[in-house]
Amino acid sequence: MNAITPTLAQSRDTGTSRLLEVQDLTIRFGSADPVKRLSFHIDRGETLAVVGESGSGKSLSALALMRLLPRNARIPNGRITFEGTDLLGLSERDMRRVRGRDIAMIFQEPMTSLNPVTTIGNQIVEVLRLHEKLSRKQARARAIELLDLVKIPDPSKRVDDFPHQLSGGQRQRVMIAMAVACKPKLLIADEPTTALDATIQAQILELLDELRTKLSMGLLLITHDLGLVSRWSDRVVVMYHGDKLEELDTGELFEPGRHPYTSGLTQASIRLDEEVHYTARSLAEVKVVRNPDGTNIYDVKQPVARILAPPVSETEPLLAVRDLSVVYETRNRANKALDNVSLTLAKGETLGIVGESGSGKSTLSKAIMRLVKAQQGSIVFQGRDITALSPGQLQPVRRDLQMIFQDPFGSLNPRKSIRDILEAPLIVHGIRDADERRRRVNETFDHVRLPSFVADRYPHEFSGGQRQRIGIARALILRPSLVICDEPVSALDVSIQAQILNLLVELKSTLGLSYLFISHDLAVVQYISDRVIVMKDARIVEESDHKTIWRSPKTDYTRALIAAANDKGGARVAHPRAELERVTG
Amino acid sequence: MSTTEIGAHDTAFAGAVPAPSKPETPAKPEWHNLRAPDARTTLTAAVAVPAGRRELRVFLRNPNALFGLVFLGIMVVLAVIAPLVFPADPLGMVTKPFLWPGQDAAYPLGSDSMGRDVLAGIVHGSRISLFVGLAATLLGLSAGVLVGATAGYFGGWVDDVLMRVVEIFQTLPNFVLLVVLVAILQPSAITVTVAIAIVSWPMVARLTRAEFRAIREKDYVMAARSLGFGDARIIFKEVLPNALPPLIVTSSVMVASAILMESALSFMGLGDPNVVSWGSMIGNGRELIRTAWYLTLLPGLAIVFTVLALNLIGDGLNDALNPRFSEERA
Repeated sequence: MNAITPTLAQSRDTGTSRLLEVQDLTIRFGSADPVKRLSFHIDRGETLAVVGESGSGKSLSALALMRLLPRNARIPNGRITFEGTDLLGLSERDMRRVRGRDIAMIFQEPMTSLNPVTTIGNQIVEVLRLHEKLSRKQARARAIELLDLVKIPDPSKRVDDFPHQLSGGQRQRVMIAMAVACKPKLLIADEPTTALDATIQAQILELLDELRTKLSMGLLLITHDLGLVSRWSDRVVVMYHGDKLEELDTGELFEPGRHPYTSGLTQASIRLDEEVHYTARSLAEVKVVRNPDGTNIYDVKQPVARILAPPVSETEPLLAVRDLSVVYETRNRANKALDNVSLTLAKGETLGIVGESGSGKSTLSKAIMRLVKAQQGSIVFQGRDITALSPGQLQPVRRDLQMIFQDPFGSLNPRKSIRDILEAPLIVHGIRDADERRRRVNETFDHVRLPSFVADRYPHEFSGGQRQRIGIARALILRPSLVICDEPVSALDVSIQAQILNLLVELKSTLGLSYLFISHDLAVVQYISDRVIVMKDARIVEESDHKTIWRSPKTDYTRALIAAANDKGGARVAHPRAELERVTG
Repeated sequence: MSTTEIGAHDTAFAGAVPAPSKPETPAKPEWHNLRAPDARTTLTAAVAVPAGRRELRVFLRNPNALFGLVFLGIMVVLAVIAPLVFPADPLGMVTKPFLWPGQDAAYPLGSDSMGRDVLAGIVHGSRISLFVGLAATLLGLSAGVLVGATAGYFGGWVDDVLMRVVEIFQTLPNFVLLVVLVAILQPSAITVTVAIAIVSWPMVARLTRAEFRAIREKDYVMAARSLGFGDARIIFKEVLPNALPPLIVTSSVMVASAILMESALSFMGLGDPNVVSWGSMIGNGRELIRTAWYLTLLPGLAIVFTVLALNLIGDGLNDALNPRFSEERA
């Protein structure tokens, strides 16, 4: 690997510093323009972050750079100049040579972007031999070098592993190895760490940044996570709905005087070290309203200070789980998903559960909902043991015990109208009177702040945040006393996340709810919880009230989680930018 | 500010559906959660029309599917009005034998070795072909969906037992089983239909099971269970509508293959001897293929075009029901 770097750095020193220049890029689908007159540039060795929520056009722009847009997309105007060549003017054949060799890309989903039937070594070899004249043996040696470069332990052995033998983080490392195999001049990373746990997230970004300096690549980092942006980028482009709202140096991101949308985003994203709690204040919300003429009004709804009393703990807990164990049995082995977990939840309390993927938090929620079978232990809800109730006996209990799901796109039946989705639980629970059902549906719409005229529409007509409101409405329509929230905001954009969290807090006090709130995001759990449980490898490793757990964690694991969330990594070598150039417009 | 908001929420939704009659709700809180539409909602709004009307439009815009639909429609109409157009028994001798098509204006498609009207035979034959095709498909589809849904939804030992049964049927050669069944039962339209249904349901069962296994893991099914929905309600109201598109496509192809099977049975003389059918016409003309080839060609063409029409409809449905644009049916 050392053979790679020096020669590269030398060759890169020649020529101008401008690597990529995008001018007036418009992308059109039919009559809609998801990207409108976008301009930005990237210098060699620089990291540019493109920030925006889903549908802002950031991923489409990246695909346009690679000329990999869906077939029904057109580029009516704009120029993409890469090292002096107009990429839009290249033949498909020449473009293929640019892809992978000059510009490489890594994707969000490491679980599906590797071919499962080929060893990782062969996949890297394939990329190498596609672009360079190498013998099999040489290519294999380079593959091992590359795996070492991306810090896969024991690369000469792991090179013959299949993707399923690697963890998610390792697979993303392999993807990165493939992307940098031909020493690209520009690396596009489209949400490279969204699917990964926080501790691994930091490692991957550190790796990307190290490679950037080592190979003096330009790095285009596409993300919705402002925390990542502020730590890992030199400049930021903020996009909304296809428009570039502003471009700024990363250092200016949190300074006052920004575009209202940018400052809304920075205020709406909560950080662990800010120690905000729902009893103290609400979260800032980004407001975007569309004018009839097609322009948008951007505004920030400022946080409201408030003093909410913490819940009074009664003698009798609402929910008591004792020694709960769940074992998933596959053909040849048993996998313990939940191992002797005990917890209690008082009325009016929010119990936060944090843990990385595979720690058993989702299994816990499903076991309490009796959606998966527990092999051992007991669940006592409202003083009644529900562990062994038959489905018929469980029916009245379900009315008081409801759940909000993570994925607002997967948790609503696409073939049913919103009214059907909300009325079905009422029918099942014996409300025969159609007027009464209609009244309840409208009431619940008011609770989740949706106008009731949307009732006859179908799920696909709503945005992610609106769908999550519908999911919440479905959970609330039976007036439960305990709502289990399984990662309710993880699939949502920062701006929507704040709205939903505010809504959950409001609903808790108006409807007297208790929450079991599951998330991998420590800052979110910190904001909304009264008490926090940390889970690891199917067990509870720590439990404490919402203040103590962040200030004086007892276990190393919790400390590691907090460190990852605060991202106290080493200092980053910023892009040395003597000549400060700005793109106008 | 709040007036702007209220004014704006209509435009925010206007792209999705024909704007609803604008409700004046000034007393409501500000709808700050109704944001301007993002690119995704705009994109899906452009292709998504509520309640399946988009599918219908895509289907009708496909010229192949339209041809299939029109041809099949004509065949169905002919089958229904056959007794009115040709009131005489199509098996009765009406003219002299071996009239070539066009020789006699009264019998435009000629007559066979026994002096029976070929056109009347084809029109009457469509009755049995279409009846057997549709009825056998309906039967096979119901049985297959029921078994497949049960196996796929419940899984575990139920799945194991039902799938073993399906496999028993699948290991037997289809047509041999069909011939044996018809030979045991007395050949009639009903028994042929039942026999074809028996050999064709296992495929539907497997398809339904696969769909159900994928869909039962979806969050909305989990949500339905957590709301206390019964199994029957989940199967028929939550899962089945989402599993329908591939089943609908398959059923159009099933009709086609049922028509072929019925024709093959009749060709071998295993059909109902008292009813004229395309297959039996071909069977009768077989020995005369060198002298009077039109006797096999004409009913053969009827089969080819009907089956082709059904396949085109199947393709059209496949395109219409598998929306590449929307992420809804994942």
